Amino acid sequence: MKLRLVALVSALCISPFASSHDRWILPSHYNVSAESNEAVWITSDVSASNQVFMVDKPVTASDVKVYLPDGKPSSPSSSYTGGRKSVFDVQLLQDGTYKFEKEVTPRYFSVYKVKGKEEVVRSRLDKKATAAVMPKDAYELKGSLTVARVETYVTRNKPTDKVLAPKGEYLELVPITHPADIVENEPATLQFVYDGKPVEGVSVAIMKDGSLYRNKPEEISLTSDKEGKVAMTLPAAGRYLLHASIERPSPDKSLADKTVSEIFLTFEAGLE
Amino acid sequence: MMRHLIRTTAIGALFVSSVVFATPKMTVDLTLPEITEGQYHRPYVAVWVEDAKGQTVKTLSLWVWDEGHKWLKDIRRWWRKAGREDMSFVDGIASATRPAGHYKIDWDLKDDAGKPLVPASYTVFIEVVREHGGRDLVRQTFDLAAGDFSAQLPATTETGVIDIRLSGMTR
Repeated sequence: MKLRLVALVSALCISPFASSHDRWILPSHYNVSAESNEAVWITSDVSASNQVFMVDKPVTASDVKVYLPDGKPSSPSSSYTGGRKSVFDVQLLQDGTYKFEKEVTPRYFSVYKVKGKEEVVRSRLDKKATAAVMPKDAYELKGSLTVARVETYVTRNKPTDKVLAPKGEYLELVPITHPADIVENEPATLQFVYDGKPVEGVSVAIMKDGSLYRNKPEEISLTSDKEGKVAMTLPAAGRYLLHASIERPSPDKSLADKTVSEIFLTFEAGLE
Repeated sequence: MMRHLIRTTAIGALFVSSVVFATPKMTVDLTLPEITEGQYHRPYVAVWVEDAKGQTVKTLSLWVWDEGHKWLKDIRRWWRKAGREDMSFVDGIASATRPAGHYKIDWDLKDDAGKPLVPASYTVFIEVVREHGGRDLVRQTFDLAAGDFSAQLPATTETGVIDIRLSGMTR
């Protein structure tokens, strides 16, 4: 019984360092039309997977934050964690653009080697804390700080801009073209900021839904320019997953050598 | 006798004005084809005009199911360009869906606010979306500074042949 519980707990806590897996929030609708007094339900899947939007490993939805068009934070009305995905529901009562975001928790991760053993030992502590608990003959201690944002935007009636503004911490994506205005065959621009300032050199990979059913990934690779911007013209309407990342030396080397900041954004490109 | 004279004069004046001072207008002759395959629901239709920058200047027709706004978003381009902006405007211009048939839409070349358009290039869009059916978006660009013109758009699955005429522009 105890063993089973341990297995369950570990299955529910997907390591934020499993960077080979993309994490994503996939809402049922990105743009909805509604009458003024109507409440519109949006149900979203949260999962981590290697294939775009094929649910694989559940990522908890209980910490998802919902930013209302007026900027106020709120929470899903309910959530559920299953074997391969989590689900959360949000009722849209206001007109405008909402942001759904997984809570951003910076996490330390350290590795070291022990004499006579080939395998690397992993630790979920910063370098200082790891050094205090590792064996005396350990060597090659390295550490990183990882920050991942998993986010998406949903719009009810007229789009608004309030939730698009960056908060000024780590890597953030600022849609210059409003997410509700991303359309196939039309140019769209996104901007990346780090600690609130435009950042050059962010690696961006954009993949269309349904990678399981095609032989080539058809990934679009971009790098942000001096203004932190990337320009894209998507060739087909559909749902997309964007992954952006940048690695920087950490300000406090005693805790981590580098800071890895990532963003997973899902969005749709509408029909022309 | 006097009344008769007045009426004759009035009719005469009307006749003259329509010939010499024809009001500039655009006519869109739209056919919704008979579709017998599969489940048939009357289509949602939007006819509107955008300027060269893609900004909507006028919605000419909006034929939708009258129960709620849920499906408005499915008229994808019209929703993005015009519909989502103002729900009371949408309620003001919406009318019921139409069966297959021939429809004539006249436009006085004024924008949504009732102001005459400045002479420039514009595009008229016709978007037809059918539940359990397809979607077609057809367009025709025209120049208000270039005088009268007419064009014929070939039929698509959801639209029959469309005739577009700009008249009364020649001075």
